[in-house]
Amino acid sequence: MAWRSGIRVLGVLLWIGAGPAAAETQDVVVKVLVCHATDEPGSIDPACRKLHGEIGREFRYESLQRLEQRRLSIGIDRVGSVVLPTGKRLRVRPLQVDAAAVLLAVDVEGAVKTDVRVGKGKSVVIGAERFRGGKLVISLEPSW
Amino acid sequence: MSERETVPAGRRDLHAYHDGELGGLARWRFERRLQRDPGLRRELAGLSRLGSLLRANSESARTPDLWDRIALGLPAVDARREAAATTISHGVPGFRAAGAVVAAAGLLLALWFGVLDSAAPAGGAVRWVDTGGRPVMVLDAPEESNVTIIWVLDDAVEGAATEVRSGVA
Repeated sequence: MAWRSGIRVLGVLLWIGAGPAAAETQDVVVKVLVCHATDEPGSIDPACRKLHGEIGREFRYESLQRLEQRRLSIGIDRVGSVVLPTGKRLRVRPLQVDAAAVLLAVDVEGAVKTDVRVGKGKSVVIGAERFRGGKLVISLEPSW
Repeated sequence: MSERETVPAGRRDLHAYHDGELGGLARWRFERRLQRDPGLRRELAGLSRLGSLLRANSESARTPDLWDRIALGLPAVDARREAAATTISHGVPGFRAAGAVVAAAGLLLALWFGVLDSAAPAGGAVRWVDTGGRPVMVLDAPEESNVTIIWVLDDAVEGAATEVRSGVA
């Protein structure tokens, strides 16, 4: 009987310890969208329409065209990267995740480094650097 | 010769009497002379008037110097300092209360934004940003928007237009 109680206690302890560990080991999927915003007359790329809805009220541009779109599946403390049209790299590393938000470390090579918490269903947009007379705009939308 | 000696002696006694320096027998002798000599009484009266005039002149000519003005100002300064100290000492509990409120608010914010090892409950929040010295605009209003925007400003023109709306170039 005693060994059965011991097994139960061990099981409970393993279950308690496994909960957070499972959350920490899950991958974070990050949708990366790289668009080119310019003052040249043009259109809004349908792929960038959501991004336009997010930044169109804040910034003035005439054209927004998609340059790159990727979907990265990244483990906690792992690094996912995308080569930008400038030849520089975008690196994303999920540092911490829970039910409500993920903490991402983002490095747009040569432009900006940041740690940002992104809530579920939310995104972060980075106006990074000049490119072909306009600006690279990177949208990161994590899910988990 | 004796006359010449008497006058100076009489004047000396007159001045001494006027100044209250004669005493005892000399004073009694001078007062007897004074009763007999009207001229001596006039001189004594003249001396008294002269003394009064001098005292009056010295009083009116007396003007406060710089130190007097400073000395007069010192009590006022002390009084103001004391009043200020009293105000501060009365204000200290208020500051303490405000400090406690600020500390409590900071703790709540720390808990809210997950400083104590917890994710933010809603929206994105920029925890740290490094642009290598370039100006950056952060729009982080998770309650109002689904997006957190980090916009690196490339040049002085763009930096000067750091308004709600900003050109991309």
